[in-house]
Amino acid sequence: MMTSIDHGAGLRLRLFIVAGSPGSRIALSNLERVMAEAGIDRASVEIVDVSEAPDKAVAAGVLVTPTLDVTRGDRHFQISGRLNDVPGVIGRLAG
Amino acid sequence: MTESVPAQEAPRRPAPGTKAPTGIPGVDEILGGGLPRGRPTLVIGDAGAGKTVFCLQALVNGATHSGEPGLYLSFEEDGGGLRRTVESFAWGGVPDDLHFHDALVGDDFESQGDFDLAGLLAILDHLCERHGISRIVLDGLDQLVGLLPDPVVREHETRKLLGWIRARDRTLILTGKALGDPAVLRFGLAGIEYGVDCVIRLERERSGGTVRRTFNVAKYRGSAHAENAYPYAITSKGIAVSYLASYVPDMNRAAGVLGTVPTGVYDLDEMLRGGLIRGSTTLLTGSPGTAKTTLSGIFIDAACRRGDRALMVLYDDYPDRVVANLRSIGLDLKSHVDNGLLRLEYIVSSASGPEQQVAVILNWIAEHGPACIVIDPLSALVRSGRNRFEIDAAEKLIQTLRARDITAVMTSLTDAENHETSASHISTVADTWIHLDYGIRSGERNRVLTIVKARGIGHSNKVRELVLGDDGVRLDKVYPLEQGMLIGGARIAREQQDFAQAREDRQSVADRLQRQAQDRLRLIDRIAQLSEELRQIDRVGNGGASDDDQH
Repeated sequence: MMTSIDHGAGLRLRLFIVAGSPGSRIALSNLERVMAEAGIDRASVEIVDVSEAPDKAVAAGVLVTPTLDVTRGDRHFQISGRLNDVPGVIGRLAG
Repeated sequence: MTESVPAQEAPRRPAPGTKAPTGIPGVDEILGGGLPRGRPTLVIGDAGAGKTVFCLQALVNGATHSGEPGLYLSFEEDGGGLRRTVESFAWGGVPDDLHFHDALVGDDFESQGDFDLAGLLAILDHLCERHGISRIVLDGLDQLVGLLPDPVVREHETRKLLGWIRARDRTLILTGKALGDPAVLRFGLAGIEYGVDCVIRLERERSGGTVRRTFNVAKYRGSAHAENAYPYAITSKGIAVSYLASYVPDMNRAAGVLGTVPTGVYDLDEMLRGGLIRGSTTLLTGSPGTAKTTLSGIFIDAACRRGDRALMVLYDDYPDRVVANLRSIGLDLKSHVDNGLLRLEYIVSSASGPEQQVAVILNWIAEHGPACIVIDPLSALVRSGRNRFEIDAAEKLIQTLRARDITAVMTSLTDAENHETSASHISTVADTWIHLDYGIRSGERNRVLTIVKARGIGHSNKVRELVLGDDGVRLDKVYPLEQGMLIGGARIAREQQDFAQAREDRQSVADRLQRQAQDRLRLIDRIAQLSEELRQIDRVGNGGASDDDQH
């Protein structure tokens, strides 16, 4: 069953990765599944390669990769790791 | 988040292969010059050991004195807190070339599967390039790595970090928490000690009721280093490790070229054939009230009158009280304080451990640069004479004073039986040992002084009576008896008695001589009379003829 995400709340996702890193590749793949299953518009997702744009990671307070930086309305949180638990990630985004 | 500091031209980095001095007293000597430059060092210790202070001090000194900008990432404390820590020490504030990056791993850190440190390394690359960083501290990395559930991944990631630091030729300090036994690291960094080039242990030991911290280099790949555990203290100037290199004999001292330092008591200087040897340590022992502080004060006063800088450290007594007491014998120590020659300090003995106390004293010495010092009493530092932490600390102090040619007088209380137990070990280390005692006789208590030993001085072995007067101290000769001696009023009475007897004896001799002279005159007269009588008899027997007529 698809979890409902209120897109009107201004969902913004940024996945911080390091290109070529196995963990980052897996996280990208899992994020694709999250987007597909939760119906998240690609336009609200940004992929940031930390090796190319470290200042963005510094500004976002990111420590490790992969890290999904989530802004939804006035809520902000980060999920680090490969996002293996896709339903769990969707639930967190919807919560 | 990294604080907003304008990008600047990266300073020229020191050549690889050399060592990175920490600037922490004692540490670089133990490390043979400093931390391995361009290599990782692990600092292990339990809570409160001073890991963060060590790291901050090494970065501040690197930025301030070695031209090596530093970057501090703490996974346990924010940059604001660390800045306040730096400012709380007497390091001259936060240097411009020290940068903090918040890497706090809080309770809100969420993870979904394994993460890796590739992003962290990319961020480090960015910050290092931006600020020209030479030294990096990762404090509390175990907080982050410990969140990785798989131990194989943890080890892989930490090895990746170590490889990164070597490839970038930057000096890295990692902190690790000891888990009970200091040999065991918390799980987050387990095994990392095998991958780093240098491992430093900050440990705490307990002996009786005394706790001391020790510094030990457990490993230093490809470098000689001192191997023992050395006590250290954390003072207002940060960490100071007690380490003294091998003693190098001073031939000038051995030859007596350094000369003597007057004690301020003329009679005592006479007993010592001129005074104390410059740079020597004198232990002044005695029970309470035997004038130890008085003699110490006179020594300090004499030093300042010569124009020498002096330091007087008082244990458990306030300087103003001691100054007031010494004024009663005409010493004006306040004037020396006012003109900057004398520094008076006090220590509450129960407030800190022996290492801490010695570190504080050494800080005062470094700041004031005294030629003479008094520690009154040393027995407040070495309380039992059996606690090795206390003895080690006192020996460290004495050796440092010797190395700096500071002439020292240290007092020590004796117990009820008049045994010098409190500092019995120190008395063997001291160059000169002067003992003060009481003698009770004829209802009087009087002070006596003896020189128990004085290395390198042909000193007097006589017991002297110490007399305190308004004009200072003098040492009178005692009145020796077959068994014991007379001092004080008994001595004076006996001396007066002896004087009277001697005068009487002299008169008696004079009278006798006069009588003998008169007897002699009488005898001469008698002899003359008898001779005349004999001539008369001879003249009658010869019929009035002379001797010539008989031939």
